[in-house]
Amino acid sequence: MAQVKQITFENAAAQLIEHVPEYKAIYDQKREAFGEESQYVIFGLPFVQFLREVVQHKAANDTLLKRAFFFIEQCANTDDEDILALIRTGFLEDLIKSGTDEETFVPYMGAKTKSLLAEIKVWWAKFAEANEKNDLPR
Amino acid sequence: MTSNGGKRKRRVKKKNSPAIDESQYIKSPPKPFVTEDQDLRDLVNIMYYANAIIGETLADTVRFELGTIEQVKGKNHVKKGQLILKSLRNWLEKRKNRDSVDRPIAILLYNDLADALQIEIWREE
Repeated sequence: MAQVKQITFENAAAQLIEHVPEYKAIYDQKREAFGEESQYVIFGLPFVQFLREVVQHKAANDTLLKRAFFFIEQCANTDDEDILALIRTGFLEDLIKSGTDEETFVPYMGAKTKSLLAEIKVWWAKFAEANEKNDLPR
Repeated sequence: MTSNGGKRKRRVKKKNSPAIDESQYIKSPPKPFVTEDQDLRDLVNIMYYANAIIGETLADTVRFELGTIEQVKGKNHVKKGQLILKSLRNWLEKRKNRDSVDRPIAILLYNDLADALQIEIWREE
């Protein structure tokens, strides 16, 4: 695994590419389209879709998946609330809300990543409950 | 652009429904269909949670967080909303072609999210 420098919200996307250089073409495209502060795009659905393609050839891409989730776990272990929010609602939320079978990825997740995944599920359960009670107009 | 022309409905609380803080927020318009731009399509799928049901957009989650007191680990969706709004602004500013069929969609998305965040909406010069 590449050594993890101090992760900040500003350098998180660049560090993701140091750990998962295979994602760089998409990273470059999204930064070009959306600018420097596109962390929520880079860690979001495009990254989830990239991992979904990668996991289809799990045996060949096992080390890539380990690298990717090792870095996510390093992010999850910071105490920077902006980074934690990025992992919860940028990455993990898009993972569970995009129809991805999250169980495929759980074996690659570290303990803190799993804990953040549980937190965002709790949030969505509360949101769903409020939606139901409020009887949303359709 | 949208099935109801982008019109929004204000939530109406039923007489006997439980009192909850977020009852006044406005629902997002239906998911728009992006025809040209793959990057914007990705952004729509981030904002409309690709596998979501009605009432589950990023703007809706922001409205919910701003309308509730108790939070699960902070206002995470507000932060996400602020950054996605910047991404949308960049997309709009970089594309000077005002005739693009996707531009009104980007403005619709921007204004829905800006409305949720309670900040100024996009106005074309």
